[in-house]
Amino acid sequence: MRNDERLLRDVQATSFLAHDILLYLDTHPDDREAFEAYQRALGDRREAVRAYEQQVRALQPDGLRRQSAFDWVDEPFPWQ
Amino acid sequence: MWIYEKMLQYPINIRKKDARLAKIIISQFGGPDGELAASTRYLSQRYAMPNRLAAGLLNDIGTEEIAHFEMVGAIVRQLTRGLTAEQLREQGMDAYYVDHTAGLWAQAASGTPFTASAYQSKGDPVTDLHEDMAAEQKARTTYDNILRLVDDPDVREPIRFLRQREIVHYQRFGEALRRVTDDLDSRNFYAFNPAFDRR
Repeated sequence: MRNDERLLRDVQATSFLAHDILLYLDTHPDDREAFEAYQRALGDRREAVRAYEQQVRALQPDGLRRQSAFDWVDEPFPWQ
Repeated sequence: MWIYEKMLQYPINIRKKDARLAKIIISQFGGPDGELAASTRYLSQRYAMPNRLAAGLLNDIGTEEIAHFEMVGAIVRQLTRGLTAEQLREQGMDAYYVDHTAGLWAQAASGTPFTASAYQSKGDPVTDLHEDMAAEQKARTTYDNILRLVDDPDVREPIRFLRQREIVHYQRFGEALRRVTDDLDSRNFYAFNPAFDRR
């Protein structure tokens, strides 16, 4: 797997875990343990996003703040 | 509001083009039980949902369904991109090609255009959550049907992911329904509509 692919996989995996816990928390907002797991998952996601944006390109427009060029319309788009 | 994140929720890399598969998978793009229907249903229902847990869930699942709409669009595009008109005809997609070339348009496999008639937003929390649980099962069945017709592992993998998500969503909506009924008059859930009647 290329480096950029691996970095993207990490973002996808950490994001998915966080999102899945979020759905559980929506109907179990008082589950303290789950909330702490969610916050840890968000931390992992944040690191994965940072690594990806540093080495590949911006993931959200916010990420452009630290890019050396406007890479937002660089290909490939996610569906390509 | 929504912010776009420039990635798919789950990777899709289809190596072999096949318009025959695109023709049926497009039902999960613009069909009655597809991802556009799901996201529009949930994001429409959230406004009148009086239970904040259920409203939050509709928001978050509705958002995820937009990401799934994107995934199905990507699958259809990757299956058809680069095919000639001749190949599209051979593979049964000539009628679609005439009106949409190799573009994406929200229709069912039958050609029926996407319509709001595919879903309800009834303004009653018990009703709407039942609608949502049914929607997830309809989507799951549609993915089951698709999987029977698809052998290509590049296509099967993201489809199986999407199918699995329907089951999880069903579970979550079931929990939301329980939360809503817990808050109602336990002697008669239908004594009043908490989304409408003043109490």
